[in-house]
Amino acid sequence: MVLVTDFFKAKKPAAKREQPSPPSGASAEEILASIPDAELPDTSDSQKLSFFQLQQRKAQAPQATGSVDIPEAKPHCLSGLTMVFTGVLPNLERTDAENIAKRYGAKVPKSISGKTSVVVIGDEAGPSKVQKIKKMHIKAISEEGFLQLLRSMPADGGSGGEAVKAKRKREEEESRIIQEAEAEEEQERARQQQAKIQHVPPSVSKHSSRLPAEPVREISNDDKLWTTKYAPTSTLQLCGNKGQVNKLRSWLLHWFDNAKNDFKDPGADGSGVFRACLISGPPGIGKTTAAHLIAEDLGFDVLEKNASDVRSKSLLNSDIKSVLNNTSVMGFFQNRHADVHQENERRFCLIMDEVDGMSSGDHGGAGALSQFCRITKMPMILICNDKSLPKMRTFDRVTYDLAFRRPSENEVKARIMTICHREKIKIDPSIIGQLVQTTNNDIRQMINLLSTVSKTQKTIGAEQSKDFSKSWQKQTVLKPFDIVGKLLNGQIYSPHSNHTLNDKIDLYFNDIDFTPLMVQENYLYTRPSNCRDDSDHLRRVAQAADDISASDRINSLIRSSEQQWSLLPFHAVMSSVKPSREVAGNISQRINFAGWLGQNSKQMKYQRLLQELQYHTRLRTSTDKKELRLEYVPLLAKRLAGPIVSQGENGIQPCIDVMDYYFLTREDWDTILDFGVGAAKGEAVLKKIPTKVKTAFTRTYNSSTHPIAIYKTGNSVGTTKSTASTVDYEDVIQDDTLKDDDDTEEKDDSKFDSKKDKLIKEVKPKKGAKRSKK
Amino acid sequence: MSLWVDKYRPRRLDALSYHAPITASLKALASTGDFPHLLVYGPSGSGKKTRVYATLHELFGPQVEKLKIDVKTFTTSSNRKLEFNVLSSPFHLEITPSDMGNNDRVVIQDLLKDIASTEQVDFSNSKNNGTPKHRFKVVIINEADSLTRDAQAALRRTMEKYSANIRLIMISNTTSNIIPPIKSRTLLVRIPAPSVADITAILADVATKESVHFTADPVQSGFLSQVAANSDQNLRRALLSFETISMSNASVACDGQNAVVTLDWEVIIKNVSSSIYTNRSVSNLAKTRVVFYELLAHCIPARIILKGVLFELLRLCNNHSKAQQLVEIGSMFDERLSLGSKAIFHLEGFVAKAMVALE
Repeated sequence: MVLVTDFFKAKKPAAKREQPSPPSGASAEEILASIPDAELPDTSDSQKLSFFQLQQRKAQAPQATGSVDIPEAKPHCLSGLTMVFTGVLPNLERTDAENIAKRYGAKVPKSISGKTSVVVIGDEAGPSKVQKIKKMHIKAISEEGFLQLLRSMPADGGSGGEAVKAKRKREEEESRIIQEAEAEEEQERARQQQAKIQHVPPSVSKHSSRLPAEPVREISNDDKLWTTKYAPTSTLQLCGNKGQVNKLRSWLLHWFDNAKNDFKDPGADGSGVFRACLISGPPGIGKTTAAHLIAEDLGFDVLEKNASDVRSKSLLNSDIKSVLNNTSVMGFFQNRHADVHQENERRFCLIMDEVDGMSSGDHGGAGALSQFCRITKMPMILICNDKSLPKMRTFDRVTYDLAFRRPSENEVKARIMTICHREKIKIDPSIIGQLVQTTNNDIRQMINLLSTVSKTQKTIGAEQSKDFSKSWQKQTVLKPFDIVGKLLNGQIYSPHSNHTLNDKIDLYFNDIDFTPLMVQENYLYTRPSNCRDDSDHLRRVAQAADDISASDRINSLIRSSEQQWSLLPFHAVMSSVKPSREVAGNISQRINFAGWLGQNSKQMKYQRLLQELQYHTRLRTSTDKKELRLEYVPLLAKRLAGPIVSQGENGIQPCIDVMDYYFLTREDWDTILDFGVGAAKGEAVLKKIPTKVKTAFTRTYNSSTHPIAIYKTGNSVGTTKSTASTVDYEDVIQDDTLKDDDDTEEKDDSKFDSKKDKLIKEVKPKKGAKRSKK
Repeated sequence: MSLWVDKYRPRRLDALSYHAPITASLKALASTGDFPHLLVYGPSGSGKKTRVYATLHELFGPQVEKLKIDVKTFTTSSNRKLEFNVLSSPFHLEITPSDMGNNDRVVIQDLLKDIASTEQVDFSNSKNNGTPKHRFKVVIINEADSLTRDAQAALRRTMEKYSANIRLIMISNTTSNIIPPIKSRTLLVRIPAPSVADITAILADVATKESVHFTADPVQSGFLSQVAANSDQNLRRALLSFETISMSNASVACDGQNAVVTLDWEVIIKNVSSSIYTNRSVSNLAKTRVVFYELLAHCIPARIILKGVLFELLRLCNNHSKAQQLVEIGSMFDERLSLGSKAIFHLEGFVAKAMVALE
């Protein structure tokens, strides 16, 4: 390596002389050779750095200032080159530099390989990368060299072999896109032609006389949204997810064969046992389009339900269930021109869109739907965004799972170019990469953005890219975990970072309820950077804890009757930004979910139990809730459990006597033991009691009557118990779809039963009322 | 079968053993026709409620002991239905408005007005016993110090307007949270904590009645006064711990060690404090958080925890300036506890700060 470097050093003066007027036909190799090598950092000490140390060094490394004039280079001057950027460049942000390289046609992979033609190296480059460069003898240049390269490269990458190849490829691609676009336009015209023929008022035909010819309003293509205008018309036009689309097609194709086998035979890909399939994936990647296309392709009539329909359990039962074993009669009404139509071949396919959008309004809808998935007599395609949601779990076993992924840049590129060509917009191919990035691979949004931009501009060059990327930026709301990750790892606080205080406060505003709780949960588990020793760490943590505690005061001002919402930014600083600034560093464990919520609801539960306990014992004791817990409960627990623990079954009666005196129920007995902490913990005590004794206790208690302290007056229906035992049927899946016939038969019996129940229920409160009047 | 503390509660004013002057004036008040509104305050376990009930007994006779609990339903302004338990006898009602949290105003407004606007019609007691008839009902308001401002304001006018029909007896620990207009409308009765001697006498009385077996003479050996001293002058606590002691041994040994009853939650607070004192690190702070959550979940009030930890740390710490710092930190977080809403934040803040102060 030293030799090579020397060689280039010797050539350096010559290169400088050449620079002002590079030979117009020079190849990339020649020009590259004219650029001085960058100094490779010494990695011979080869000390192994841990991941955290590396992170830390990166955080401390000087950040790019971004103050450099980027030279205007010839179009496509870097094409054919494969450039890798590594380390922190002194003046350019790495992503910016990569974008520049991409814009001029270079390929920019993330790692070094044999194909890499040049590496642009900055400070703090990874040692492994440096070693690779040395091993493979790849040309390494500095940022200065990169800029020089930009200045000196001729258009289209010079005359080198690679460049020529790249140019040819690019031209081929362009011509292919043009061809495709023209072909589509041809199709479109043909379709319109066909439509015109169809909508010629039908000459005397039998059914037209009865059915008034529906005037179909033709919407001209120019008025359509681009997303409808350029919606894929065949499965070939779908971008990405080819494998999943094929799976879906083969599943749907073999559906009726599988139905003959009663869905017992899994088939080659295991899809044979499913009556329904579930497509999941982020928005805007063509899930709905794919489902519709395939269903229509295979000759199904599509019946679609989406979030705009109410899909509660009862409505699904009445609307969908009746449809599930129907066949379509569309064929009978079809015009003769539809030559696809075969006698009675038309079948339904049910597409349930936005399944995860089933909200509280659609009570029991998800459960009912998953029931249908088991029994349906026609294929069902369910579509959702997030399969991991708990409410989607009911579909886990009953549906064929097809996860759609975001299409990559390459998969989208051709499609976008075609659209642009048809709309006569000149777009720089390199800008598509940016488009893909800013929209997070959302095709629908890309097309919508293009459509908006095209209203004012017909050429979109690389120059405007920066302006667009700002305005195109998808405003995403961060999840609590991401917010805390960003707040607690030190990068946004480093002096070189361009995060202003407002940016940090904005992080809090992504989720004002969760951020403070999540910070509080996780701030103890970081290793602060620049922390001298453990006591310094403790001091920082104490400061953070102090701030968090102070922020609670602000929070109560905001949430109390005073409602001082203008304090929110202050709360943001005190609850989230300042504490995390104190302790920011590497997070030493997985980010936990805010434990406060669970603990709080547990506390509320025990408070409720304590209140009940106080009500029950109130007739005998003269204390408030707090004292009851602090003073009474420990002794009561001893009195109530002690005899049973020590004497077994003989101890039961004394305990029941105590309970009766204090009007305690069997549930209260459990509650009192449950209140114990530490050594007196309820579980620990319960373990000492053999199961046999426990059951004997319950039996003895239930066999006799006990005094009750509280009777409800006023309303005569239901006691506290009955209100507590009402079950939320939201997630309960009932098997009622299968036993419809049985239900009708049993109806009489059930009526009788319910009457009986009512009587029983009615008697109880009366008794209670009488007693309380005495 | 009941606990001693409830078994030996005096029912009559005559049976009360200590604070004789207060008892005498209560008796005098009850014998006259115009019984005033009362505000009875004092530390817990000093016998406030016992005195109030004894006074009621004096006023209305034994029928006040026929207690029952009713559940009443209220509708808030936001149309939510709330259930509320009311303890009552023919002559009085006892309510704890703080059970309803922020809705206590509704209870005060609806319930009190309801009772206040109806006259007492049952004079049966007066005929039988010859005691002067009282045309009013008594309403006991528990935990009056945790009434919200709104609820207290709602009380003001009610107390005057309906004074013909109701008398209020408010029971609280302190008067500091009670607004001056209420204080001016009531007769303030302070029940101080009983002295150690008072408690010792009561314990001795209970011991003979229950025929507790001791290894030595409990009064002579000072055992009972030790139990009394360990109870923070809280009679309820003294009785409960005395019963605990005698429950665990067939015959009670009269040494000082035996006189201390540490409750389950006190043990935990003690342990956590000593671990804070010895191991001052961030990882230990994380561990204390778990313990605090456990205590808070089991309804141990945060202020009790804070107080417990602070006092335990003060006991362990011999350095005066550090102790002063600790007290300062403790009082700061105590204030935040009462102003804020998330107890764990403040407890953790206190522990973190205390760890630094102890360094």
